[in-house]
Amino acid sequence: MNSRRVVVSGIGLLTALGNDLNSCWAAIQQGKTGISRTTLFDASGFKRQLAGEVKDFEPRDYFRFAKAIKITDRKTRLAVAAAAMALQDAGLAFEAKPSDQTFRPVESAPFESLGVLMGAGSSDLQVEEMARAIGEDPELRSAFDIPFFSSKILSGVNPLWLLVNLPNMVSTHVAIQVGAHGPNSTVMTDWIAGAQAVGEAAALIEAGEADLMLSGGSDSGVYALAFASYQQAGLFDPSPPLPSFTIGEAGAVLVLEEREHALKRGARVYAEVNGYSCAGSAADSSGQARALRLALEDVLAQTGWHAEDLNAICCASIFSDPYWNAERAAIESAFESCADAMPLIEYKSSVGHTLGASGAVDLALLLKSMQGTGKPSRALVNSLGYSGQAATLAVSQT
Amino acid sequence: MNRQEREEHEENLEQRVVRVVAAALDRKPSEIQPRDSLIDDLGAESIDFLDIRFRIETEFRIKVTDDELWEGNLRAEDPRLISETGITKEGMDLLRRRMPDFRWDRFPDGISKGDFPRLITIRTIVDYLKRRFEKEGAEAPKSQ
Repeated sequence: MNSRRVVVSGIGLLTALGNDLNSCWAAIQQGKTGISRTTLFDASGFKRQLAGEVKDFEPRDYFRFAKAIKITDRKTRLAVAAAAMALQDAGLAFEAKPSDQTFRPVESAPFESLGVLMGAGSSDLQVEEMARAIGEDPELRSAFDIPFFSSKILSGVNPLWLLVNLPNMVSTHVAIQVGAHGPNSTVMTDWIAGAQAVGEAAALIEAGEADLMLSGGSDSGVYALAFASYQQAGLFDPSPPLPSFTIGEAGAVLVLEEREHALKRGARVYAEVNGYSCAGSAADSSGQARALRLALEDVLAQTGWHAEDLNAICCASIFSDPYWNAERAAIESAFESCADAMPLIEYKSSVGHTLGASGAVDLALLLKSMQGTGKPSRALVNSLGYSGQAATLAVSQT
Repeated sequence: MNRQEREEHEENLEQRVVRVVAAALDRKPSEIQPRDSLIDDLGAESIDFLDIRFRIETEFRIKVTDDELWEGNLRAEDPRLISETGITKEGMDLLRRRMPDFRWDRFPDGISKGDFPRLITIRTIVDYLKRRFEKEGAEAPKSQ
């Protein structure tokens, strides 16, 4: 058995329900929903006009170097904010500056070995910026003359465009803003990216590559290109009895810490990460069910847990998107006769599908729910991908 | 343009440059002085120069080739003004005349070639635009 164990010692969360973990959790307890009419762009042309938007978000409150905000997209900003709050929650090197309520590192920041491994989704590609450049070509020559389009129209796009849209920028900016110099990587597996990032970050700690990792997921699908893509893919068509798919956005970052490291500094521990697995299969509902069943069975084998040991399974899709049938089939396969008795919970109906952030959002809320219950609890978090990938995390509070 | 019109035009040019640089560097226009070094006073990094050049091009509807925007005060018409390692004494005298309010005390040991970007100020950009529009016999195009 591996002597290095991994615990969660801090959580930072922004969702449609609130801009920190406690307000998100209070809203869940009050049965509130964060889903409302889209305001970040004009969604009036789409079949689905509701979204789980983070409200009243001001990145300036969290960026140490505000000049960098111009080269970040929404998901990177949410990630930086969640990371700052996670570090503060973990009692690590960040303290609120009373004068302006922004986060600052204290001078003793022990971040030389702090790693960052985030799951992140796509970028909005700043379509408005492109449209502005194309507007310089009223005769639409660029529609049939690609060399003209490349040289004359794309040269009208800001040279920093690439920096804003590169997929690895989430972990990059988190590291820059908090001063983390350890291992740095980004998981780009779309809907399961958040859960997978946490699993991979925990594996780095177990392997002795790091003692501290900032990990989780950050994504926003509240932009025209994402709405257009999901509408084209048919996800905005209601499939009774399930409602239409609702896109959300979130930043969810956890501080993962080697257990002894956390205990030595007297850290508050939310839970231990006991297992993680992921699998891929064909992108139809039977393939998705198979991938999730493999991940579930692998995690049960890693932990030695049985159906009766589990206090909760946090589901990826229950009641909130078209993939519940696949997830239900996976749970039935993995738990057989016990499946009907499994305690299932879900959060997406409150915050929307936060895409690449969703696995980490679910984990953050689940860990918060386990806090203060005063009894040992064990839970699984499922994450199910659009393209037939699945991941499962196992956590426990002892 | 008569003299009064030219002064107003230059004033306007400077305000527009300040506004562009302020937006690129996350500053308030009121915090920015014409003599401010983009690097030392306003915190510009290498990628910000790309951004500022693009924003100047968009604001004034021009294309700026290579580094001509930044050469401004530094361009020495006489090669004797620049040596292998930096700026000669003659070159320094010329720069001091052109940039009388620049904070020369930042360079107690003279100016090496690596220091050149630190000499770029708001005024450098304004002067470049002024020369360019004068040469073209045109006024700066209005903002979009």
